[in-house]
Amino acid sequence: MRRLVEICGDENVFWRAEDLLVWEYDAGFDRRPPSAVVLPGTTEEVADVVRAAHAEGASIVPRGAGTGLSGGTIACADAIVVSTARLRRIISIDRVARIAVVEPGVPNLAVTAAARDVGLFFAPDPASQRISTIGGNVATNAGGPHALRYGSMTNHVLGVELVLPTGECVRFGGEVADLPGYDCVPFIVGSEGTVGIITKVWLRLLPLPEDVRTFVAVFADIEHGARAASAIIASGVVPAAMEMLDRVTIGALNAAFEVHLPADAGSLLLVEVEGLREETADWATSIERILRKNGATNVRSAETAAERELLWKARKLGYAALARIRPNNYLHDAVVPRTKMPDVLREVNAIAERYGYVIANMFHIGDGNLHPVLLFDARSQPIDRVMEASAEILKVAIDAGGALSGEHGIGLEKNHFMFWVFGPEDLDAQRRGREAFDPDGTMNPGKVFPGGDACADIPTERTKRALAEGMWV
Amino acid sequence: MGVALGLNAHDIDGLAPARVIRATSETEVVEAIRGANERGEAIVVSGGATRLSVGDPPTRYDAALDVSALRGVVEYEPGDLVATVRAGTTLAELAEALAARGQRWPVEPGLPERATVGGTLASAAGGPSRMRYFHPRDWVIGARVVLGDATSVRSGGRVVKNVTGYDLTRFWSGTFGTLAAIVELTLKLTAVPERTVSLVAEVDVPAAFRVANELHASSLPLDALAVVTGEAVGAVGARADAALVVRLAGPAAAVRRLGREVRDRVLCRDVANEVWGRIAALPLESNWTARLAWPAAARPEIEFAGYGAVIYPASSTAYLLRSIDRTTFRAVRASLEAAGGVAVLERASAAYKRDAGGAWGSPRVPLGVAKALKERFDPRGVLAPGRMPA
Repeated sequence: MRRLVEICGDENVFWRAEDLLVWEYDAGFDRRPPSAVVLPGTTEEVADVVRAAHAEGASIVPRGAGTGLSGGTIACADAIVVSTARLRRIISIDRVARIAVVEPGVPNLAVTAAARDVGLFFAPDPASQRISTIGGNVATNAGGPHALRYGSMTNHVLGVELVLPTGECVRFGGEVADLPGYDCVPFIVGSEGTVGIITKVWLRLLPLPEDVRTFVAVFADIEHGARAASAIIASGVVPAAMEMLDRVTIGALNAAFEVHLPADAGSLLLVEVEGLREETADWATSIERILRKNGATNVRSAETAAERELLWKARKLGYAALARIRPNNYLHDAVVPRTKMPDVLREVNAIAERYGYVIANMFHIGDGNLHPVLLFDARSQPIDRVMEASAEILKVAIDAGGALSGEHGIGLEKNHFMFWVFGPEDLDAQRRGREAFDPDGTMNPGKVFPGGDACADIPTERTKRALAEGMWV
Repeated sequence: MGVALGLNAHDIDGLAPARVIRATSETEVVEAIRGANERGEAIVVSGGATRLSVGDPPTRYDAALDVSALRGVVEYEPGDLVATVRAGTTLAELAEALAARGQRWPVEPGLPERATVGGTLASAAGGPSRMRYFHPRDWVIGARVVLGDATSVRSGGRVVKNVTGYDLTRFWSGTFGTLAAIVELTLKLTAVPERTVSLVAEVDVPAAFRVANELHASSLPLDALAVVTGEAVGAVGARADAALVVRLAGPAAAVRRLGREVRDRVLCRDVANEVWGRIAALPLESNWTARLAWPAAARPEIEFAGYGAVIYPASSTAYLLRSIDRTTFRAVRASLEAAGGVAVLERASAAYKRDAGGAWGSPRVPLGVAKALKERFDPRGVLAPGRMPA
C-alpha cells in the first residue's frame, strides 16, 4: 500500500472499507470489494503500479467506468483495482489518416465529439457511450446499434499500448497496418482485462456520411417485425443500424420521453441508412418496400435531425426507462444467426412467460444480437430464479447456433457457460494465448474461463455453476 | 493422403521441400502435423502458393503441407450473409458460389484462381479492397485450425457479432502458418453492388498523387483507388508516367454521381473492372516485391516516375516492383522505420533478404510475447520455423 501511495499519491489510492464500497460492483449483480483501488495518472504510473503488484504476487483488475454488465471488473482473489479514470486525454485526432489516439479512460462519446469537428466519426456506439470508456470498450469488444454496418470495436482498433503483468509497456499495431510480427490487436480486443492494462489506443475514424435517413416501422407483433428484419438483411441492403423495440419497451419509452411512439404497436423497427444522398434514397426505397411487404402497418421517417436524435436518445436510454416497470432487470446479450431470429424470439418470450417475468426486448436485431431484459423486483423475487430463466434463454440461443455474448463480454457472469460453446481443446487454445501474456494468471483472475475458484466466494457463483452444469446434457 | 515428390510450386526462395503432403481433410492435416512432431520435421503450410515466399525462408523445410485440395463450401446461408468454407477454397470458387445469390466476400488478394481463403487470412493479404473493406480479418467470424502440436481447435462461430472468449479467429490473421494450419473459415459476406465502374486517368506522377489526395480528402465513398507507375502502367492498359485508377460501386444513381465527382477533378476514361485483377496481381507476379507502408503524414520521398510500383494512397501503402540495390533498399527501410513505417520484402531471393537485413526489417512486436505465443501454439517448432519474428 505504501508503495502504491508513493507511485500515485495519497489522494489516488483507496483502501479503507468505506472508500471501497463504490468499487465493489459494476452494472451487473455481483459484488466483491477489492483490497485496494489505485488511480494512476500516467502510463509510467500504471507500469509502476503493475510492477509493484507483480513483486508482491498481487492480482490486478483494470477498470474503466464500471458500466460492464457481466462482472468483468469485479475484484476476485483480493485483487487491486487499477482505474483508468485519470487517463482521459485525447492525444490526437488525425484528419488525413483518420485515426484517433486516445487514453483508455476517455469516454466513447468524447471520441465521436472530437472527430466530428474534423468531419469524421467513431463508429462503435454502445448505449453506455456517454460514460463507458474506450479502454472498457476495447476490453469487451463493445458494439452498439451501428455495429450492424460498421462492425464492433475489433474492426476499429488499429493499435494498443499495453502494460503487461510484469510492468513492461509494449505496443501492438498502430497507424501503419500489418507491422512485422504477430498482430495481437484482435486478441487483446475482447480479452476483458486479462492480458494487461491498456494505456493507449489507436482508433479508426470514418468520414461522416453525407446523408442519414431514419425510419420507424410499426408491426402487429414481434414475429412480423423479426421477419421483416431478416428479409432486409437477406436482400443485401445492410442498414447502418436496425433495432427492434417490443410493446413493453415502447410503453416504457413513451412514459419516460416525449418520443410519441405508437402505443398500440406490437413491435417497432428503428432502421437507419447512411451514405451519399443517392445511396440513402435507393436503400430507403428498398427497405420501405420490404417492410410493407412483411406486414409493417405504418412506416414513418424522422423528418428532422432533432427527431432522429430523440429516437436514438430514447433507444439508448431505454434500458433506464424500464425501471419504471420494475426496479431491477437482468439481461444477456446472446447472438443468433439472423435467419433464426423469429423462432428464437418466440422461444425467449415463452421462457419469460413460463417463469412469470415481464420481458422487454430492445435489441440489435440486424445482427442477431438479442437483449432480452427480464424485469423483476429484487426485494421480493429471488435473483437465482431470474438467472435460471436467463440461462434457459442463453441455451436456446446456443442451440440455434449462436454465441453467449455479442458485445457485453463473458466476465464472471457467463464463464461457466463457455463449455456450452467450446470444447476443452478450444478453451485450452484460448488459455494458451492468454498465458503468453500472463503466465501467472494475475490479470483479472477468475474471468472468461469456466472452472477456476478465484471468484468462488461470490454468492451467485454457485448458482451459475449449477445452471451451467445442470443444463449441459 | 497423397504424397508426391517436391514440385517447384512449393519451393521457397530456392529451397525445396523433401516432400509434399497433400491433405484433403482436417484429419489428414492433423496426421501430417502429428507426424512432423514425432519426427522433429519442419513443415510449411501452403494454399495457392501466391504468397508462400513472404517472410524469411524457413530455417528448415522438410515437407510442404499443401491444403489446396481441402476445398469447397461447407455451409452457406445467404439470409445470414455468412458462409463456411474449407481453407483451400480459391477466391474464384468462392466468388462463383456466392455470386449465384448476389453476394461476395469483399477481399481482393490478387490471383483469385489460385489464392485461397485460408492463405488470404494467414498472410493478411493486401489489395484494392483494403480501402473500403479494410483488413481480411474484418470479414472472418469463425475458424477451425490445427495447432503446431496437432490439436484441432475451433474459434468464433457463425454470428457476426461475438465476444464469447478470446478472438483466436482474427488473431490467426498474419501468422503465416507459423502457429496453426487453418483448415476452415466462416466468412462474413456482403451484397454485390448494383453497379461497379472503373475509371483510369493517364497523368504524371505528381498529378496522380495530387488527385488521389483530393479524392481521399473529399470523403467520397470510393470503392478502390490505386496509382500505378513506371513499367507497370502498361498492365492497366495506359500509356503515361502514371495511371490513377478509381473504382466506384453502389446503387446506379450513386455511381453516376461519383463518376461526375471524379471527372470534375481529373480527365479520365472508363476501363473494364478486370483492371483490378491485374493491379492486384502485379505484386504477386513480380520477381522482386517490397511492400512499403507509412504513417499518412510521412509519405516517403521516393521518385516513382519511371519506376514500376503499385501504390494504394488511401492505405499509405506501396508495392515496389523492380529490384533496387541492397544498400538503397536498406536506406529506404531505415528511413521508413524511423518514421514509424515498414519495408517488407515480399518477394526476393534468399540472399537479397539476408543482405537487406531480413524480409521483415525490425520486428514491431515485443519479442517476449511473440516467443511465448510460438512456444505455446507450436511447442516443437514444426510450423515454418524462422518465417516470422519470434
